[in-house]
Amino acid sequence: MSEAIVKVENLSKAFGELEVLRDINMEVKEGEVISVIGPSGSGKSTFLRCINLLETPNSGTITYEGNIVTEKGYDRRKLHREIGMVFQRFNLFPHKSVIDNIMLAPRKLKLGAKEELREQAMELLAKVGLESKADEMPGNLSGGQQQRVAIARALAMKPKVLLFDEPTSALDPELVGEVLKVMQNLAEDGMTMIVVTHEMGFAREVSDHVIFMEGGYIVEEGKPKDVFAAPRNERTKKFLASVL
Amino acid sequence: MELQWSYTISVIPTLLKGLKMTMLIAVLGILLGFAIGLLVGLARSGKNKIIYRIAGVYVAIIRGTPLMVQALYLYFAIPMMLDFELPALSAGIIAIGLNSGAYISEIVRGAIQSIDIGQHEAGECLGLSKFQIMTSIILPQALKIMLPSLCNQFIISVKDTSLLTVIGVAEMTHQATQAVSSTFRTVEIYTALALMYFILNTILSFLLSKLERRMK
Repeated sequence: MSEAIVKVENLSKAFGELEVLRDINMEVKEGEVISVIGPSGSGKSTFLRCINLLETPNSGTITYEGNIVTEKGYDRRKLHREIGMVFQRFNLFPHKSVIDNIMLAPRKLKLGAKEELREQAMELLAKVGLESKADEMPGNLSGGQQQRVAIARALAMKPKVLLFDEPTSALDPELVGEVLKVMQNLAEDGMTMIVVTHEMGFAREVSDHVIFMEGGYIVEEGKPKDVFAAPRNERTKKFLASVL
Repeated sequence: MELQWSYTISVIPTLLKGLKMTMLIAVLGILLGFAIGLLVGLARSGKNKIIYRIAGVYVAIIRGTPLMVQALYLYFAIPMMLDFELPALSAGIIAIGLNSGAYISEIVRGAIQSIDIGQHEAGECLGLSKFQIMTSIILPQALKIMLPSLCNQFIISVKDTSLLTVIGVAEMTHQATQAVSSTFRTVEIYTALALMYFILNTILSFLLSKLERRMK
């Protein structure tokens, strides 16, 4: 087995008095797709946001490619350049066209000549099936299209790991499929992904490993077929019974 | 006393001379005010406590004292304490700049805080620096939100220039007062003055609302 690309050890996080994460341990290997499932308020999103330091953990360590990122002095921007994020509410830049949304960060960080970056952005748009929308403003797109642009925008940084924070939860039901399809293609291309999701179909079919969280703890984890077909923990059983 | 409305007409060339000065002070003053307001507004939105406090003291002082007193202090008191001379025009522009800057900083702060935190996070997750996030993501969106309030502040500053007559800047109100003291045609001349301000600001309002519509 190869070395873990992201490793989380004894991670805890509290907002004031409220303990959100308690003693979380996890590791992700390159090319692995991990789904994090569980009821609302179980700490899934906070967990994800700790991995790229959008939230600062209270204790525990997070290691990325062998470097401890939770230590003082670690270059957070390097982490952000290599670990991309897709948000529940897309967070596209409303004042920029679709193509400019994708090109903004590579341009600002001088990752290539303008023409080259434009070409790359068009390729990414083709990958998510939206070449024809390059010059549209995000506000003119459907939620599903916006989320696909957001995925293309994250990919423009050529990330090594991609985090998804409930990427389909803000979408109308009929638009969920197109986003999941793009994510499935990414998984098949070998992208390392951690996906917080309520889409049990995706968790079961696409991911290599499923983590079930409740009350800030990892209650159960394992291969999707095991967790879904034969959950060992009572709470996992209850949760799965309520959503499936 | 018999009113002679011909004075209302004949004073106009004098008032127009003052109008140039009024506009010069208002435009340069508001530009200075915008620069100050942007910096102070950013300081008031940031996390550095010391800078936040200093910016807060500035805003409190400006909001807590009248513009006329600020102009007097700037033109007479400060140069006397520090033993230098400040031309009335410069003092006037700085007074308008410092004064509008405090109000603009609150406009800036409000606009920046109204931008969804997700915009900041999206920029951060793409590896952008704080400066890049501010200049290419937050401020362009905040500027659009600020525009109506900034236009409003500009009109206020145009009218505020009339207070600078106390430090002897030859703006429009000063010109009118001078004309009154040499002709004693108080009613005729101040009527002309009021009309001039009214027409000026009506035109400015129209132009600014056109600008706002174009920005949408």
